[in-house]
Amino acid sequence: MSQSRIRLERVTKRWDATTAVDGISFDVTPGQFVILLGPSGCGKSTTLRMIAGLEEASDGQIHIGERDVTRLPPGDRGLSMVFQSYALFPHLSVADNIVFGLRSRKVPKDEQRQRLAKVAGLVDLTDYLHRKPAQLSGGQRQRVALARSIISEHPICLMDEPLSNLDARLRSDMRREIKALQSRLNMTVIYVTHDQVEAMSMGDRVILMQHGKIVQDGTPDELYNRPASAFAASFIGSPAMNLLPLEAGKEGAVIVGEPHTPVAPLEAVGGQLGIRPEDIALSTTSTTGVPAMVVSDEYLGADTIAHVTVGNHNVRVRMSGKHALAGQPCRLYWARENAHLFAADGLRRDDLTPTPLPRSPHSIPRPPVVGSFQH
Amino acid sequence: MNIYRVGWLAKLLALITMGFLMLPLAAVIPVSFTGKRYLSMPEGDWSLRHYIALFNSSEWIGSIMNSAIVAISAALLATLLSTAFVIAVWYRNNQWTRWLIGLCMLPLIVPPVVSAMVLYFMTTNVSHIAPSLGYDSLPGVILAHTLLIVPFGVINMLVAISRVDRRIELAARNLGAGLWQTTWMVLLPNLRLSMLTTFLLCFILSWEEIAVTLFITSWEVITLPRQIWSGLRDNVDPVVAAISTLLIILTLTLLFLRMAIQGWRAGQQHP
Repeated sequence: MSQSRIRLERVTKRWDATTAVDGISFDVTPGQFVILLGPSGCGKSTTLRMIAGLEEASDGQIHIGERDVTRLPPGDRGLSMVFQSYALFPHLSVADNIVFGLRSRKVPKDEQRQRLAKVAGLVDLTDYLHRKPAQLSGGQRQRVALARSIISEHPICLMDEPLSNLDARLRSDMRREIKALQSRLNMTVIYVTHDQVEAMSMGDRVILMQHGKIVQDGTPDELYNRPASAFAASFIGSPAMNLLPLEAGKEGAVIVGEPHTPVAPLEAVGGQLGIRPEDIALSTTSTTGVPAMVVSDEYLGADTIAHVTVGNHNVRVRMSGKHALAGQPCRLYWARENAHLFAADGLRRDDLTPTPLPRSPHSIPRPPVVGSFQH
Repeated sequence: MNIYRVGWLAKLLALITMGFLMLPLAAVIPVSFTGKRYLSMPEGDWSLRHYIALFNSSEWIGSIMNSAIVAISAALLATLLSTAFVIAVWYRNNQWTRWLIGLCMLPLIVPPVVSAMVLYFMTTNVSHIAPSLGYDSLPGVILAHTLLIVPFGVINMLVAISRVDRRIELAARNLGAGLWQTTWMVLLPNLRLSMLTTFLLCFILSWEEIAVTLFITSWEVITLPRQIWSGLRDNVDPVVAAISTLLIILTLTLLFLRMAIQGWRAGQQHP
């Protein structure tokens, strides 16, 4: 089992003047499903390619199991990879695509056939083995790519945005399928994506990256409930967390443009207050809470996103059900434990606690988990 | 929205242009069937005598054989060289390779007469060391033709290889294939048809080459265009019309073959 442990130590990738990956370290334990998450250009794909050996690390070490594989060729690292847009061989049939790795490693023909039959059954491709990739649908091509990687029986599988070419519906099916396959084959997976929904729903652990560095490394739950920085806060969750700049008021820090309601201790001034849209309760009847004005509302079926202004800022509020509130004054309320404070440099401040708001107008039913209405 | 529909004037102009381009070629065909001894339109005296003369003449048959050997060898060489070149460029892909591509295109911008002059001096110099490779030798002509047509082969193959998804190379390497395995099992199979069309293109280019051939041959290696050239200069023999007709047919066949291959490939990629 320990041969599927992956350890990165200060791994760096530089191209001329630019540093794509800047000294990152992490340790993946066997059987874990790890997500490398981040916006495009954050270095997540480069990191994956360095683990795969398709890109050479400029600095640092990569260990797989007990071996230092930093300088090993990709074929000798004992891992398989699924590529974005599948990278199937267009001139080969589905069967030949799947056994390509066995053939290049000179596995005996009989064994090739056995393993092909087994894997094809696993991903439901038995009836398509003679087709060419061009004759398959997107979902089927995805399965071929998966089959090609799992037939190697390597304990580690790297996936580089494998679902980005599929439509939304197929994507949610494939998410579950990949997750099921991973736990069934007990693989260690490192999965690169820019899609927070994939990250939250599939990962045992999410490593969020920005500008070639790790911003936060934790469970999906930790990323959602205790974002390490304003960037992490705005990247996870949809709609994104509201981030409101704070200035000094009479009794503490207040939201810029709303001087009457203290929301945090004075030390938080200069930083930001973060509240998720789903953690805000909006009331048109209450007389306590932060005064606001509803500008518009977006009805999404299961819930409504209200766009309100507080001081000089736009705030999104998520309410379940349908509401038509545009143009009405209202009050906002949030529980103290749902408010996050970030310093001027964007990092989370745990040394301060937000000021509790006067009184709850009514109890707040918490809406379903993040992103449930998307994809 | 049919503002851009083709009007009658445009159609007429297109037809006139086509006629202007095609008629001189088409005129050769009846001339080749004349019964007279000189180039003329047949006036009721249709005859195959010039075709018979063509196939009975060892000079003409010899020149066709020479041209076939030269064109096939040069096209093979050019196809292999340009394939090897673009594969190397594809793997390396840095600023140096861009310079190399530019360097490869140089023979294209040199006027044919200049190329001919240079090759004349080169082959005559080579003749001092190895007469069988130099001036007026088959290998000499083959090498000179290869030099001239390689740029076209490189262009054709660069287009082909740029359509290959780079990720399949990464996938092959990830699946344990080395450089040679990747080249043989992944890259070359995807270039097969383009290599064939490159070969056909290069074949036609070498088959029709006259300018350089005139400079680097005298009487040992008479290629078909050279034979036609002398046939036209010495005595205007209708055999020239007969061979021209055959050449038109051959060229059209090769062109259609190339188009058919490309059409078939397009159909295969987007069924």
